[in-house]
Amino acid sequence: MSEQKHHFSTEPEHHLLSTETEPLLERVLFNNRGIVLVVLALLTALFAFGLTKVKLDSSIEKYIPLNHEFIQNFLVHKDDMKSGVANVKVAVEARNGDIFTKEYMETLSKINDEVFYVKGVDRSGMQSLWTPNTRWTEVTEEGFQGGPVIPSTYDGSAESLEQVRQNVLKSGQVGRLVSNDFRSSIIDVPLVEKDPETGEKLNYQQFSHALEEKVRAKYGNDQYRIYITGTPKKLGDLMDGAREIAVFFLMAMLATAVLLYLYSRCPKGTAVPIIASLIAVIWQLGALALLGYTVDLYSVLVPFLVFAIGISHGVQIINGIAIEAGRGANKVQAARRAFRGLYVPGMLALLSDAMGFLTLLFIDIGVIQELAIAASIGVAMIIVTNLVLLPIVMSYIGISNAGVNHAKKVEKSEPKLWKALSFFANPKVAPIPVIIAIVMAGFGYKISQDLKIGDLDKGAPELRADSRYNLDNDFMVSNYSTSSDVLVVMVETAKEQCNSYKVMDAVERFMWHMDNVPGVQSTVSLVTVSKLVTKAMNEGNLNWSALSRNQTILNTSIQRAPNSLLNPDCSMAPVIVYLNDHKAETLETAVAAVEAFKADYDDQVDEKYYGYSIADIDDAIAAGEIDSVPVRFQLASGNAGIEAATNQVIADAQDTMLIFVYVVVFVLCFLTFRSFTAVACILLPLALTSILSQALMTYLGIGVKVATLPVIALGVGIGVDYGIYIYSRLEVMIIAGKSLQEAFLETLKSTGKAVSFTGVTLAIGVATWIWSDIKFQADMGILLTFMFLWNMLGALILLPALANYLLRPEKIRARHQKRHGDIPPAG
Amino acid sequence: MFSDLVQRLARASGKALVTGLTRTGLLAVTALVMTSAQAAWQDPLNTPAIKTEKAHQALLLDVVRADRRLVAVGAHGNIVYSDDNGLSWTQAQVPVSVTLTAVYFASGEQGWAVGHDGVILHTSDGGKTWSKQFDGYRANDAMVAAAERKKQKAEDALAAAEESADEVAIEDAEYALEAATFGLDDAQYDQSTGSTKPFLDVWFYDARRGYAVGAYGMFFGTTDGGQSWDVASENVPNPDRLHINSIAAVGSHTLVLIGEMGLLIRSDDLGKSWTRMEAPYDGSLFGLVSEGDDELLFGLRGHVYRSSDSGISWAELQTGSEQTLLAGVFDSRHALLVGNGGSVVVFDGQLENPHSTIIEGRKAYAAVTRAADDTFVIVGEAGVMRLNATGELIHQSISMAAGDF
Repeated sequence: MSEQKHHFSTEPEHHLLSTETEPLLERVLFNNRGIVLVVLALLTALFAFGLTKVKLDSSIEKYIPLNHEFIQNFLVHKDDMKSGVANVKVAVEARNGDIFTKEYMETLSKINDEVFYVKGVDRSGMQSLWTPNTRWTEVTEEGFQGGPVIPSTYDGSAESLEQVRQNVLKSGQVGRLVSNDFRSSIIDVPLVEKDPETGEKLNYQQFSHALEEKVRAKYGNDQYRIYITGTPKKLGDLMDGAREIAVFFLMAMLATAVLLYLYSRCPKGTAVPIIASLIAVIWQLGALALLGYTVDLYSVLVPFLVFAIGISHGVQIINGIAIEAGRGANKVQAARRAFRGLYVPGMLALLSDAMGFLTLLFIDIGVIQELAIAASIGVAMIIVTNLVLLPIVMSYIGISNAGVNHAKKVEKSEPKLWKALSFFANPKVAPIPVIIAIVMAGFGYKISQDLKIGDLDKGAPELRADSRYNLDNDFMVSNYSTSSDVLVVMVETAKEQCNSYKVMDAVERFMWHMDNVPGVQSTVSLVTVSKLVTKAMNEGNLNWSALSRNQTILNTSIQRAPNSLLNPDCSMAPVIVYLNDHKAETLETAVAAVEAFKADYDDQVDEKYYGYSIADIDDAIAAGEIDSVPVRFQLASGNAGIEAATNQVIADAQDTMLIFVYVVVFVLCFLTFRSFTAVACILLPLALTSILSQALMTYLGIGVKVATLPVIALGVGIGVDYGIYIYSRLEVMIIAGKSLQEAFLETLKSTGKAVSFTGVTLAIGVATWIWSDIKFQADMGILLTFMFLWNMLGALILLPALANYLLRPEKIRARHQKRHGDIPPAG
Repeated sequence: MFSDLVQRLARASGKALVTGLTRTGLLAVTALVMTSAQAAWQDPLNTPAIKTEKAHQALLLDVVRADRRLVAVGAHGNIVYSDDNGLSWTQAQVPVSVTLTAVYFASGEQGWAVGHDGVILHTSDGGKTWSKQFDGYRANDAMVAAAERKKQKAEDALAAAEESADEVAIEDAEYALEAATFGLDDAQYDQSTGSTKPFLDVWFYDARRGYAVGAYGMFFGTTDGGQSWDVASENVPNPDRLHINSIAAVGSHTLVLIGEMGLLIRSDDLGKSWTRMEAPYDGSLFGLVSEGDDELLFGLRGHVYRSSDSGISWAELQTGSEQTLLAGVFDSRHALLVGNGGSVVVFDGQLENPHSTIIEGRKAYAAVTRAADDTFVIVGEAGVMRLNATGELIHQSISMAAGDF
């Protein structure tokens, strides 16, 4: 391009920055190169210091929609319902034979002792065959009889083992502590989440490692197999999974470096973009840490994106510099011209990335909002590191001769691929990709109608189905009478009323109502205990397995109820609903059933009830002071409750977010190119990718969930880059007087390679996640890889074909003429 | 393609709008509900059993034959019937949702079911639809009235004794009055607190005359098919008001009440007069079944006794099981008892060759009857199961449909 001495224009139609400010920016930066470098170096030092403050966060709160009604309801009772969440189960299986052998009991006893001393274990609450709180009871002529399941006289003899077997049968622990097939038994381990002495939060990862070392590694062998489940163990495993991210990052960086070298054939042109992108990563991580943000399992992925996006923009600059250098410009000129030609589309692309990410703020879930902030900040950093720092550094060191020669060679050559691709801009060929795209969109849309909300896999969906944790979980679910999918409904009433007959009766009816809902396995509450004990007090006669209307009997029946089934002042009693699975339909059905019942039974609960004692409440009702015994069924807790809330948040947010991300890229593209047809050329291929990626999710059985929702925003936000680069170049060539096909060929020759390189770099950056042990990271990897590659194809194939229908070259030229006269665009 | 996008956007924005509107609407409704809170709790005695297709897997407490039909009752007011010997069941219409403990049919059509909260239900269409005849509130009233009568009688007796100046008679009368006063206090307390008692068994002689027995010595009778129920315990020697777990008919005119702490009371005149019998065991007894002259009595911890002399002497039978036995059937070919822990004991028709098994799952079973195809149908904690003549579980799936809801 010829250089104008007095007046510059970069892209043909850029309105973000007026033609006057643009050279100013370039002048300010390049005339003070030294100062700029020093400032940037100081900033890097600051953010590098911030790196030392980076912390991996294991709090569960960030992963759940804290403002959702369900979670708010749960938080009211959080302290009452602590037990159960921080709980680990260790199952010890006898591989040969059953648990009633001397050796098994010995091993179990050793493991029991080992677990007892692991840091964080609530020793008083631990339960296994060997703990004294595991008892059997029996009704005899004299009343109740009972004792520990393993009697004090136990000596490992055949007789005492038979005694243990009898006691186990009487204890009612089959299906709970002892598996239904008597081949394994459980050590139930509640945890103390906060160290009572130091106040320090329990480190799940360390706890998980302690169990692995002291139990699984030590006692697991051919004879005995160890299974460990529970939320703390899962979190520990997830933290371990997050560690591999460093390896993936290195892999992605190496692959990118190799590609970059093959692309530029210049060691400097390889090293500088990588270093600049790494600096962007340092800035991003450092800035967030300085701002007080922690790194979680989602935001740990942001550095990949920042690095890959940084590289993809850096490579455009290097490409520009090499081309300018090939045309004879010196180091500084080449860098300045590359900067001049690329900073507007670069900034536009990066801004649209950032804005795209910010639309994630619509999703009211901590991890996603922090992901949005982290990614936006990261992308903003790239504007400085790769659009400013990189060309300035290159203006000092210049590109190597090998690189210049390679660029020259490339510029002269006309690869057959580009030639072939250019035909998509030919009116005769253009209909083909357009028709194919329409057909694909149609099919994709149809398939994506079956797209499900929520997690579709059983077990812990965060981890892979064949992960150690999920295999252990499978074992527990199939050998014990428990489900790992639990919906907890909190029944609220006035103080000391939770065991009154009316409340208990409402709870019992609610439980039977839920028992009849498809997908519900069973329900447990204070009522279960009351009926069980009432029956036991009547000599085990099944006829008595009912609630008594006699308050004294009711009180007695729940005297020994576990704390987890009522709160200390008896104003709340949870109903635990065990579900078959946590598929969205199951959750929706269960939640709808609760809400239907709630509509019938919920009564006014407010402060005025809390003054009445159990003895006075009936009189108060009779006197009309209050309306009735209040009962309120509050959703929800338990993993299924939290997931139901998450699903609702996601279902509400997904369309809003999609609209906003498209509106944002639309506005940005329109502000830049001032043409609806141009925007259509850029956005329609993106829309196709969005539709196809939803179809792909349906096909792969990946639901719309916390992890996949950001993918849509990321895919569109980043995917738009290709279109912007291609289109801006294409427009320059059209204004230069070329036909559409010629213009497209020229575009491909200059930026086509950079764009395809970008697509591949981005894809590599995210493709390594596919190997992550963390299932949702793998899902994100698959989808983003697909979106990045497909968006690239869209920009290279569909965009020119659409241009054929939508663009009028003479109109573009006329408009440029009107605005800028004969000044040719830069770039 | 563009239209896809437009459509999607339109759909989404429409949905957002609708969601918004629904939310606002819901808020308004919620506000309305909050300001006009009314007593939502309904007494289960007035709440019909809800539609279910799971009653055959939920707690059932009794099962009987009504002609060729099987009828079972249980928790949540569930009553189900089967016309194919227990393979498929249909839910009946029941006006209460309390736990039902026992059912009895005087004929193929006329039947009664009793349960918690003193409820008595009646059917005249072979168990398809039921209506409420009696409940615990009325039982409490009746028991207060009976206690008042008893107290009055005791006072009269005391007055008579004081007139006669017979020291022993006075002491007895004072003691009786004291007991009657306590009885009245208890009855009045129950009446005032709405504390009801469960019926545990029911028996009818014909379509008009029958008895319902239950906890704390509760004993009611009817002579008009249940139109009215009256306290009938006056002549029953159960001063400590022990639970009467079961009422059994032996032959054509003998009735036996079986209850806790070795309670065994016999009437040879269909309930006109009762005699407390010496029980062979002072733990709880749960039932008695008979065939010809043979009577089989069973109870807590696997205790089983046999009598061939109208309950005068009993011989303990060894069963090999220590599980409590709750119910049984006895015909010329087999006697089969079921109970806690999945326990099943089978004898031959001569009450010999006992055979003890455990049904997998170890759930408790509360009742057994013999279906028309000779299988044993048992019910309990796990709902319905079917056993063959040797007491083994028949693995054939059992289905259930909600009836005319």
